[in-house]
Amino acid sequence: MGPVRCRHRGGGDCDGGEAVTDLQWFFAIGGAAAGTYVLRAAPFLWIPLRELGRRYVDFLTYVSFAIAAGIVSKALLLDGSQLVLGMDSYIKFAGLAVALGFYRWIRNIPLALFVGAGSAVLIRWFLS
Amino acid sequence: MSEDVKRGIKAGGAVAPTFVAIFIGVGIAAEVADLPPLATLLSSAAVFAAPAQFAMFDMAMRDHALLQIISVGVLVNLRFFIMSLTLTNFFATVPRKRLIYWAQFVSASSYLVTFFQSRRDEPVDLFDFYRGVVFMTFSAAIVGTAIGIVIGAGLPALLAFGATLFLPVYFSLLLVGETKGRHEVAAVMIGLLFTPPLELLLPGWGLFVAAIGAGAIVTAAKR
Repeated sequence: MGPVRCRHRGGGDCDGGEAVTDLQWFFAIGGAAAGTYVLRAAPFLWIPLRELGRRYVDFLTYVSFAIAAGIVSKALLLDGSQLVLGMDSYIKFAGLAVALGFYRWIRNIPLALFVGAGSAVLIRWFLS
Repeated sequence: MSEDVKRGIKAGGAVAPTFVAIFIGVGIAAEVADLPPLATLLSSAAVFAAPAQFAMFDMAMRDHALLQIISVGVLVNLRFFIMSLTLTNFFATVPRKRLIYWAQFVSASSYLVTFFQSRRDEPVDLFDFYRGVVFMTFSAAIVGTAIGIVIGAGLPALLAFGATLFLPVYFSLLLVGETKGRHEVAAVMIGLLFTPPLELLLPGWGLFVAAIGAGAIVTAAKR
C-alpha cells in the first residue's frame, strides 16, 4: 500500500503530495477499527483471556484507579502531549477544588460536578 | 428500558459534555485533514477513540503509508484490551453473543464509570448499567463529531473550556468517593503523579504505561 498524502482544504496539496482518496480513508478507518475491535472484544470472547481477567482482578483494580487518576492529572496539566501550566490550568485546579469541597459538604456527585465546572467557567469568563 | 440502563444513562450524562467537546475536536481535525464528512462520522462510530483518530489524521497530513496509519491507530488503542479484561469480571454471566456487539463501545469512560459502579453496594445489573453509559457516550461522540464538522473552529472558547472539565472533575469525585485503603490510594497517587511526565516522554502512551506500572507495583507491594 502506498503512502497516504496530505491535502489541504481549498484543494492545495502539502509537501507536493497527492490527494488522499476517499477509498484510502475508508481503508485506513476500516483497518484501525477492525484492529481496535479485536483489542476490545478478545477478552470477552476468548475464554483463556476471561480467566486471566479473573486471576488478576487485584492488578486490574489498581490499574483502573491509576487510569482514572491519570486522566485527571493529564486533563489538568497537559494539552495533548504538551505541558501547559498557564492560567487555564490554575482555573481548572480552582474548579476542581470547588467541586471537591462541595462534594464533601453535600455528598452529591452531579451537583458537585456542575458547581465545580460552572465555577471554573465563571472564573475564566470573569478574567477574560 | 430497565432501571439499571436508566442509571447508566444518568451516570453517562456526567461525562457526555466532555465527550461532545473532545469529538468536536475530532470533527475539526478531520476537516483540516480533508476527510470526507461521512468518513469522519464513520471513524467516530467504528474506531470510537479520539486519541487514535487524532493520531491517524495527523499522520495522514504528514505523508505516511496506509499501513503505518492503521498500525498507529490500533497501537494507541492497546489500553482497551486491559479495560475489556477488567470488564470481563463484571459481565461473566452475559452470553458471549451479546458481548460481540457491545464490546465495540468500550472506552475509558464506559469502562471506568461501570468499574466505579461495581464498587458500590447497590444491587445493579452492571451490563445494563454499562449499556446505559454507552448510550450516552456513543451518542455524545457522534453528536460532537457532527458539530465539529459543521462549525469547525467556530465554537465559543468559553463553552469548549467548560465542556472539557466534566470528565476530570467527575473522575476526581468518583476517586474521592470510592478509593479505599492504602493500596488503592497508592495506585491513585502513582497515576496522578506519573502520568503527565510519562506522557511527555512517551506521547500517547503515558497513561497506559503509568497505569500498568501502578498496577504492577501496588500488586507486588501487597503480596
